[in-house]
Formats: sequence, structure tokens, C-alpha cells
Amino acid sequence: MPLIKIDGQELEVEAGSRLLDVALEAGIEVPHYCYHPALSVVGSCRLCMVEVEGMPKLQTACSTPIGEAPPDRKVDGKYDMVVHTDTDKVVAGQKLVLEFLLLNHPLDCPVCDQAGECGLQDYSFKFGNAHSRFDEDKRVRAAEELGSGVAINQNRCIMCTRCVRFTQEITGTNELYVHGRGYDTKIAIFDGLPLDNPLSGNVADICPVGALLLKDYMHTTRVWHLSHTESACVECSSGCSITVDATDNVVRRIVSRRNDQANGHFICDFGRYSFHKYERSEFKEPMRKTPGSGWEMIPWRQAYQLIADKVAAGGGPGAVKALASPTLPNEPNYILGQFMGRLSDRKNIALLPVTQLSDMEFPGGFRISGDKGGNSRGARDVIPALAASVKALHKTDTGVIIILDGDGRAEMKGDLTRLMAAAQFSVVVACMPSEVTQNADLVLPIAAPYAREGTFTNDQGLVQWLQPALHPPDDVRADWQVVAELGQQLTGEDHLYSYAGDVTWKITQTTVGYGQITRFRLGKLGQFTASAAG
Amino acid sequence: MATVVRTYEPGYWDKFYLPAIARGLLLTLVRMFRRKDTIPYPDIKYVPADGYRGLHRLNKDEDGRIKCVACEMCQTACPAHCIDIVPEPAPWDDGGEERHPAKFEIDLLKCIFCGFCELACPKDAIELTEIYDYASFSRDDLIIDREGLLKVYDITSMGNIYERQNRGESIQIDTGNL
Ligand code: SF4
Ligand code: SF4
Ligand code: SF4
Ligand code: SF4
Ligand code: FES
Repeated sequence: MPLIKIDGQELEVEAGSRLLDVALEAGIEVPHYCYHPALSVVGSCRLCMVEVEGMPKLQTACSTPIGEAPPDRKVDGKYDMVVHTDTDKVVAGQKLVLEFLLLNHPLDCPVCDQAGECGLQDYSFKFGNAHSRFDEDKRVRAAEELGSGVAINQNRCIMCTRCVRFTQEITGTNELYVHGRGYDTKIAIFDGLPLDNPLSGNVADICPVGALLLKDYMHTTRVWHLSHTESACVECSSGCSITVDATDNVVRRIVSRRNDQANGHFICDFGRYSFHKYERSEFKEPMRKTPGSGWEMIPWRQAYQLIADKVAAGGGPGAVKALASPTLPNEPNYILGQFMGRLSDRKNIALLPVTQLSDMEFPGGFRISGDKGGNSRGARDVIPALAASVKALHKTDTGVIIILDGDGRAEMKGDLTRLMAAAQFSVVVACMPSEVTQNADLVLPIAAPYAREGTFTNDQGLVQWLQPALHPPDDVRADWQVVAELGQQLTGEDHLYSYAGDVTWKITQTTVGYGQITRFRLGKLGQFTASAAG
Repeated sequence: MATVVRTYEPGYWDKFYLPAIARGLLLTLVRMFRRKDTIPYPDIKYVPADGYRGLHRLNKDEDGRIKCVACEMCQTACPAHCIDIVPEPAPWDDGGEERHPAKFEIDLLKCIFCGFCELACPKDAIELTEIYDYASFSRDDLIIDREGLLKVYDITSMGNIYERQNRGESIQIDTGNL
């Protein structure tokens, strides 16, 4: 293995690794724009220059592979490469490159959404000049719309071509291209072919400056006001890692977070904009359907009492059926499975059917799962006695039915409609109105997805922790708590959980494949279940 | 270390008190013929020195558009956390900046008039004016909004408001819901 030295730090690295990666990993800051770990290397921005001993000119670290030097050419008799990132020559080079990049840059940071997380701001501050010697007028070009979700401010673009390479290599859709030459170069789309692929929002994430902008987030707040919560996307079974950015208890945007175990660097647009769905009308209190088909708010205690009465009137605990939710975390599903097992020997619980499409795969390896449940695998894992389908529950009479609707992604049709019609009383646990809640007799509100806590298992068996980014409204309880209280009401036994992690711990103690999982080990990137890892 | 405390011991003449009274009356007499230091406020308004930090205003540009681009720098710099801004995209066709505040509120009861907001502003959009007399009967009225701040610009942009009031112009200052 080659032995190299960067700024006096000795490192032993794999032959063929990229100098820039090695330096960054060793904690040495080498500024760079065009290089992105998920994309091919073009070496066009010239900012990542370093000095390599024995080479006459500065080298771009992103395009310099590290190899083994022949024995007689090793530096000091042992190093294959000796690199300096902070010599006068490098510093002068960085200053010049940054001055060039800023020639036509408008420096309109006050109105730029990138300000605060901008590569140009950060590097200019650290490595650049305070003054520009450019006296001419700056080139001014109009902002353009690239697609339904993304706009470009041409003036701010530094032509790193990350966005172009993204549409070539990751999505394979090739919407963006470099138009014109020299002074007239710009990023453009072909006539009538807007940037509208399902991953388009990522170009705004990877653009190192404020050129590519999400229209949805444009001018909503400033990045330094945002709280960043590292969580996972629950919109499909791919389970990408995300960062939820919020201010004033409102989600402002969702950005991708690198997780090589789940779709790498990017997220899809369904996940990115999903938070808007939950903004509209969250439930605030338990609601009972009244004869005039209106809804009446009732306190929690009364809601649970009502359920107990209906169970007694409707054939006792043995006739209670339940549908677990693929859109809720493992914790409420686990508790539901446990107490339903206590109520009857027969299989009385099935999985709520949600939309199933076919998977969408992209050339860059990104996969959007067709299973819109998100946690279908987790729900199956933590409920051992799951009936094969909703239809299987029809075999016996149904008294009270408990449906965990979660985020309202179930389709009201076929077996589900029949089962709800056959039930004497239906209790739906949901965060917002859906077709299922419309047909319910009693609705128990739970927190919306970004206020939820618990574990999610994606279709590959990767378990991730959902970190709540928001506080739920006052009278809304956590999903696991509502289900645990329901169980307490029906079985007459007190539940012993005081927070979501308690339930997680119980799951890891009793569920096959989850034994090695702990909240601590899950960390920010999650952990595979034993069956998935093996 | 011991501290020596000197106490005032009146002397023989001091105990008559008359010389002190005479000195006092003399001062009064002299003052009667000098220019007065007090002013009959509010009939005549005190004119603060240049650079006085009073009520804020939001400046307008030459075409009358709001100069503020809602960059929230002032809000970030404000040590009293009394500025509340909600940005929105500006109308495309007015030729101005692309962003402006939908809401811009300053809680004047929290403000400590440090002037940091003015220093932080990259657009010279917010300024502290000479205005000091904006009392009100309710707390709500002392939360000045975007329109109110622009109105302050209107009344202060033609010169020092108190000098003009003293010249007999009638200018109303009202922070409430304008
Ligand atoms: S891209 Fe960066 S440097 Fe340019 S205006 Fe935006 S924040 Fe400022
Ligand atoms: S728009 Fe952004 S990502 Fe694309 S070339 Fe310009 S600076 Fe790079
Ligand atoms: S003067 Fe100081 S306290 Fe008052 S609004 Fe400005 S920054 Fe805040
Ligand atoms: S007043 Fe100035 S600093 Fe405050 S938001 Fe407006 S432009 Fe920014
Ligand atoms: S990052 Fe190496 S040249 Fe751009």
C-alpha cells in the first residue's frame, strides 16, 4: 500500500484512491466545487489544487490518483507521494481561482437562499481575497425556470457542471447541458424538455452555490434559522436518510443525507415534498361520528371508555380485529401485535393494504420502492401472527375493528371496505383525514410523521431511527402511546412503556433478527436486521 | 486600611444661613437673564443630536419600493430578539429586488435601541430615526409593522421631524395599526 504524506501527516492508503478523498478523510480541508463523491471527476473548477513534490505545477487533488512509486523514486526513501495543501503557491492559486469564479458573480447573498450554507461564501471567506480587481460591468442574465420544481439563477452559477453530470449519470435523463462557449456558457435545458424527473430536487442540494434553487423553498426563511433533524424518509420502502429542516415548528424543507446503506447521497422528490401533505389538516383531538354524520370532539378518557363499551357489546375481545400499519413505526405495530395475540388464539390481525406500484430504478443505482407503505417489512417482522391478507379476517364475525391508518395512505376498496362495513364499530388511529377515517366511527389522533419517534425497517432490512423534528399539537399523543393505551383498555393489563425507546428495547428483546439492535448502535445511519445482514 | 471620613462641620457664619441664601438668589437672578435651558415641551419639541437612536424606519428606494430584501440580517443581529420578519418573493415586474418582507415587525417595548440592526443591514434599509415620543395606551400599538415603518420613513425623510414640528408643521407619529 502506498505511503504518502499530506501536510506532515503520514497516511497509508489504497493504491488508486483519490488524493482529494484521502485528504478530506484525514481531516485536511481542501476546497473543491466540481468534485462530488457520487459523480464522475471532471477537474474543471481548479480549486482543489495542491502541491505535490516532484511535480512542477499545482495538481488538482480530485483528479490525482495515488499510486506506488518505483523504489528509486520514493521521496525520503519511503513516501510514494508528498503533498502540501497550504504552501504559498497553493494559497496564491486558490485566491486567484476564487477571484476568477467571482468575476461575474452577483454577490447577492442577502436575497440568495444558499447564503449560510454556500460553498462560495465559505471558501471566499477562508481562502479568497477580500477584494476583486475586476472593474468591468458584471454579466447579468435573467433567472430561468428549469422545471416545475427547480429554477436557476444564471448569474450565480460557477459552471462546476455537477448538475449536468447528475442528470447524465444518476438519473440518466440528460435534461441539463452546458450551452454556449466561453463567456456565454450557461446551464440550459432543451426546448420542451424541462427538468422534471423524480429526482430533480437533488440538483439544488448538490449545487455548491445558490444557482439552482428549489422553488418550494425559495424565499421562505434563512438557513441559519433552521433546526436540522436527522431522520429517515417514510414515504416508500427505500427508507432514504434525510435531514428535516424546520423553524417555528413548521417543516420548511427536506434535504438528502448521505447513507450508503440506503440510496447513497440522494432522495426523490416524493419524499422531498411529502411534508406538505401533512401540513393541511392534522387531527387535534379524538373524534366520534355522530348520527347526523358530523363529528364530535371527545376527551381521550371518554374515547377509550366508548371502545370498551363497544367491545363488550360486540361479541367481547374475541371478536376484535385489527389492521397494522405499514406507514407507522415498528413500535405501535409491535404493541398492537402483542395485545391482539392476548385477545384471541385465532389470527385476528392483518396488514393494512397500501398503494403498490412497481419499483423505479435509475442508472445511477437509485431505487424508488413501489411499496408506498414504508415500513411494511418492519410491521411483518414485529408482528409474528399476521394473517395473510385482510380477506383472511373475514372468516369470523367482526365486532370492533382497530385500524392503524397512520398517514392515510390506504386505499378504501375491496376487502378493506367489506371488512369495515361488516364491523360493528371501527376505531381508526390516524394523523389526518383520509378515506379510511371518513368511514370510521371513532378517530384517535396521533402525531404526524415529522413529529414521530421510533424505528422503521426498509425493504432491505435496514432499521433507522425516526427523530422527531416537530412538536405535535397539545392533545395529540404519540402513536405507540395510543396503541398501548388501547391495549390497556382491552386486556385490562397496564402497559409499562414510558417512551418510544422502551418499546424499541422490548422489540429487540423479542423479535427475531432485531437482537443486536440498540438505539445507540442505530445512530444516524441505521443498522441491518440479522436476517438482512446474514 | 482605614478610610478617613470627612464630615461637614458648619462654621460660625454658616450657621446664619443668610450668605448661602444670598448666593442662591444671585444665581437665580443671573439665570433669569440668560437663555433658558428648559423647553416648554410638548409645545416645543426637543431636537436630539444627529445620530440619536430612536424609532426605526424602513427606507424606500428612488422609485418608492421598499428597500428591505428580508435578508433577516437585522433579525439575526438583534440582541433583544425583537424583530420578526417573514420573507416572500417580490413581484416580478416591479424591477426591484427579488425578495421583500411579507411581514416586518419590531416590538418597540423589547428594543434596546442599540442600532445593531442598522449596522447589520446590507441594503441600508433599516435606520433609527430621531423620533422619541411615540407613547401609546396599549402594548399592541407598540409593535410596529411594515407599513408603520414605511410611514415613519415618509414623515422623517424630509428633514428632522422635531425641527419641522417646531416650525409649525403638524406631523402625526403613530406606531399603531396604520
Ligand atoms: S451563491 Fe453564495 S456567494 Fe453567491 S449570492 Fe448566493 S450565497 Fe452569496
Ligand atoms: S447550476 Fe450549480 S451545480 Fe450546475 S453548474 Fe452551476 S454551480 Fe454547478
Ligand atoms: S436597535 Fe438593537 S434591539 Fe432594537 S431592533 Fe435594532 S438591533 Fe434590535
Ligand atoms: S432591514 Fe436590512 S437587514 Fe433587515 S431584513 Fe431588511 S435588508 Fe435585511
Ligand atoms: S474539485 Fe478538483 S478541479 Fe474541481
